[in-house]
Amino acid sequence: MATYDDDGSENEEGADGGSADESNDDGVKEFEDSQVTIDRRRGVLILSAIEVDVSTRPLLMVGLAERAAESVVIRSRPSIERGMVVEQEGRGKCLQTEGVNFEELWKMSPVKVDHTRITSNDIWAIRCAYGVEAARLPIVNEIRGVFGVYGISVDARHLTLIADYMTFDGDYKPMNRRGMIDGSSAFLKTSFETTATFMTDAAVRCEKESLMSPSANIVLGNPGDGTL
Amino acid sequence: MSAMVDTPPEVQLSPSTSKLFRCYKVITNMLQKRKYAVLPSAVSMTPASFVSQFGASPDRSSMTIMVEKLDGSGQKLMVFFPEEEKVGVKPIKLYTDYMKQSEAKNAIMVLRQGITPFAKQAVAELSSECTIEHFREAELLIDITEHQLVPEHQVLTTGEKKDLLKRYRLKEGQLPRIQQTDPVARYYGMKRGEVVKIIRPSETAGRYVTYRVCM
Repeated sequence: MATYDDDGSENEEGADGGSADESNDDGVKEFEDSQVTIDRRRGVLILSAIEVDVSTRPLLMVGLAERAAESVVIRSRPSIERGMVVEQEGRGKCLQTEGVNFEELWKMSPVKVDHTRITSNDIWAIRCAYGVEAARLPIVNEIRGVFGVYGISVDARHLTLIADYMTFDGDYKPMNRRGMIDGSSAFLKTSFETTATFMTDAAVRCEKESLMSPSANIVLGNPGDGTL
Repeated sequence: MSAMVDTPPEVQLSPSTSKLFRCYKVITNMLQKRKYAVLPSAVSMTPASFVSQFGASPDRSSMTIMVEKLDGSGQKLMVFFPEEEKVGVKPIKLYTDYMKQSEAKNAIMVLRQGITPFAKQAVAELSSECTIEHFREAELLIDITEHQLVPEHQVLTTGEKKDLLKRYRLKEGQLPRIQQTDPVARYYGMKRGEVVKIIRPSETAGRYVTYRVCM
């Protein structure tokens, strides 16, 4: 008998298949769908008794039970592979999941889970669930985490500037040459990376350079001009 | 991904009722934050009072809410809870009739599953007469603006927006942007061109005020 706790989610994929382990061992009667009953009211999955002929050969139940447990889905959450409860420093008891699905987590009762403190390292998922502003801080924290591993401390101002840039459009854009591809200043782009590529691109498209950006002015040797 | 807390269990609601109750709470919160006058009884709703008002398995049509804007402009907003799993064109026609009767220009639909493409199109066609926003129940189970990471957002009025652009000598396009499909922008029902003031906590300055224009 296996139980699944019923917290109200409707897409319980488990429990309905009844695809219990179809054992090929002699002496074990194979499960059929009809032998698995689900008591929705009590939220319980009932497997009927297995008939075993002891005289054929000895039967180890533990192995069978483990195999059955592996193949029977009791409950699944789309795009969440695994979940474990861990003790996190400063946060207390946490549920850590492999895979991100905020909507599934929201289904959990607010009495059991503190929904105001859910975080993830999937910035785009946060942006989609909580908006751009919520995605800004995790960017800072993730970059800081990467530097932190090497013991390098970077001033928060640099990191927040990066996060501000990345979320400027209300989207989530990379801060590299691909992120600035839509920018209007060709000289600014060429002075950053892949000069030849940006130059040929600008030439092919007949782009004009308005010299509004400091970078573009420095390229032409005009320090002090531009917006700064 | 989330932190757990140990508190005693609430009054036992059936799974679908509990979902509905949570949506109702979030909607009332949302209406308050959008500066609509919400009944105190709706604000302080508990599972017990929810059951006594709407029953253990509520009839969704009885849950319709109507509120008026606090700024005295008399703008009305209605919240509908359609019964259908997937909302089609028919109920939308019904709702627009309701709205015309009570002179409401705005509405929110709380969908159980989703909306059909035709209904979506119908809503878009109606957009010149009235605005119908729609949220799925699954999106309203928790109030996203209460999350730690979400700073305070205040939608500016047209006058405030003008002042802002004048004070900083800005054009609208120079402000950082927030998309119309952004969850927070949808929460506040922001329209294209509206500006939101964001007050976020800052490590270096304590408090940092910024603005985003809805695009």
